[in-house]
Amino acid sequence: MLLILGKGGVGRTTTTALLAHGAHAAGLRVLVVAIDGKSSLHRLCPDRVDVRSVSAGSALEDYLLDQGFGNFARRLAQSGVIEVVGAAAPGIHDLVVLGKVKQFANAGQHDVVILDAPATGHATSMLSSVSGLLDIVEGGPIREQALDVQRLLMDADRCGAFVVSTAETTPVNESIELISAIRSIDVALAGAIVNAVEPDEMLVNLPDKERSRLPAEVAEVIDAATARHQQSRHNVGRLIDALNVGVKEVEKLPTADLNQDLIAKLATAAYGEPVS
Amino acid sequence: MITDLISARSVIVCCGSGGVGKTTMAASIGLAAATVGRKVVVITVDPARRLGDALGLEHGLGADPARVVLPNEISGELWAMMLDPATELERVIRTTAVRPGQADEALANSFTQSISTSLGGTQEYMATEAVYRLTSDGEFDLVVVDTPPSDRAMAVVEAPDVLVKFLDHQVFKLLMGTGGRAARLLSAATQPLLRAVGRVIGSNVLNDVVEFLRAFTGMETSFRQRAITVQKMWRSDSTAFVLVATPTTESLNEISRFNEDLLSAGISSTALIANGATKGVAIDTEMLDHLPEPATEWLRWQSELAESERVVLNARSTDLPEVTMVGRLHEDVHDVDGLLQLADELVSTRSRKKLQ
Repeated sequence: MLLILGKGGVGRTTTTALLAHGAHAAGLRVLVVAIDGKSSLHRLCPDRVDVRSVSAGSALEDYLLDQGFGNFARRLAQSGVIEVVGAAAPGIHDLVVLGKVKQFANAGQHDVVILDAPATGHATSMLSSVSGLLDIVEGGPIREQALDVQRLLMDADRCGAFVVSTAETTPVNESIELISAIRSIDVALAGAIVNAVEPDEMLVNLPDKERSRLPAEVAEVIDAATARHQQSRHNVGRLIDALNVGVKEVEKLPTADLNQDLIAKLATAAYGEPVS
Repeated sequence: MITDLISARSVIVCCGSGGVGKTTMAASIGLAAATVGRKVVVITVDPARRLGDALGLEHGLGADPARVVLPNEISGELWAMMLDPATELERVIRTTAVRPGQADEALANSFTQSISTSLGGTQEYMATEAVYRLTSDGEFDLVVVDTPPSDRAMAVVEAPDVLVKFLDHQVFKLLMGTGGRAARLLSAATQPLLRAVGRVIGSNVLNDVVEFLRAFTGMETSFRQRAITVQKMWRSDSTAFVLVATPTTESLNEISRFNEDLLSAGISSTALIANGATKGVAIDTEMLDHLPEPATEWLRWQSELAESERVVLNARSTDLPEVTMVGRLHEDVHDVDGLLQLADELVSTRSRKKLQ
């Protein structure tokens, strides 16, 4: 099981799709799980990869239904009481969501389950909520469930976190914070991806003579890009220092419309040609 | 488009997914309004250390509005604050308590504090309470709201509806012990089920919940009234919803889905900001002849990206409002000057239905 983590806007969903392409191309049976649906993963993943969506709201209701509460669970959910109960045992929502994902992972129908987790803050609280819940709930089915999920999360052979970042300063700072948060909850780090790396290195050796011939406006844009490039290199260096796993860089393509084919291309660049 | 909003509206709500620059846009909109002479407060719901720094606020953003030092030539005022759900909840409880000592009792309940951060929807509901308070005390001309990422922003819009539904619900009345005869009859059937729920999550947890709700008895009327006022405020002509996205298919699809949710809640958005647009560099062939190959390639790459963004923006859903483009910054905004530049760009950019 791979957990894809990162702050909003760094391309978590794109990375999830990229890894799905990579794993699919390597001949693995892949399941992609999105939390709270409405995601574009169906559009971006290979057609033959399973994509499922788990909703935090309905997961608790489903769980209570599984526990034999029947229609009462639905009524509780509609009244808002279930929300209050959920708050009384913080993390219960997160637990039932992770419980669902665990079910998928244990079903044995797939070789790898890739979870497109929520943005940074929520994702780490989601993972730590399991141990938080174990502190409050002393017995019963919820505790069993929490122990099960914790076993899977902490099993470095079966589960790993993948950190997604861009090369900009703030995302890298937040990714470094994220890395220590992941370490503190004993989830193994499986890797990191730096997304949308621009081809700015093309500019690095532009001679002053050439530069001086450019219209001021163009020269300004080029200077900014060169400065940005140096900053990016520095930031990626910091990210590599913070990790003891491989950091892969994925280039930015000159398009505002990433689709399945383009992501397949990026996956090939990162993970090699599909096996036949 | 943004120009009209900043001078006329009394609430501007900025919505968008995480990472699109929503907080920075909210601050720039606030600043733009201050430059036309208005007294503005920007309230952000996410802990935004960088915004506090960029605004030069020595102690960062707090739960009360702090005044931002602006250049002398700006006639209006800009204030900024960050939502602290726990502080806001305490305020609300203190102002709505119906008998002496009730506020202290409610606040002493072990869940009252934890609930403000862990009860789904509470944070969003507290945001609406804060906006209500800021607009109704008449101290500010304009309140700019920076909402949580769009997957949770609808919860802010819907918070009053959810609360009203909850307060009106039979099960709630039953838990509060205020339901009258019908609820007591119902209670015979539901108590065993509640006990069963208690077995799953622990009966101590359930008892605490019931205790928590009872501590609030009598306050629900004024909670209900305010919720209805906020429902109306979101839909009134003096409130504008501004969508923020990046010029990519992915982001525009997301904002378009959010816009549909808004529409089905009876709210139409007023403006769309496409943030971080690539500046297309006009390339003439003579220039290319003089440049070394890698630089030429880079310029072509930029133009291709700019063109692709233009195509994607033109193909956006027809339900979305007009676009205001904001160019990509060379560095993070780190001071008021940086925000002023953005504010300038927001009001000077001619919004266009079709981009040239």
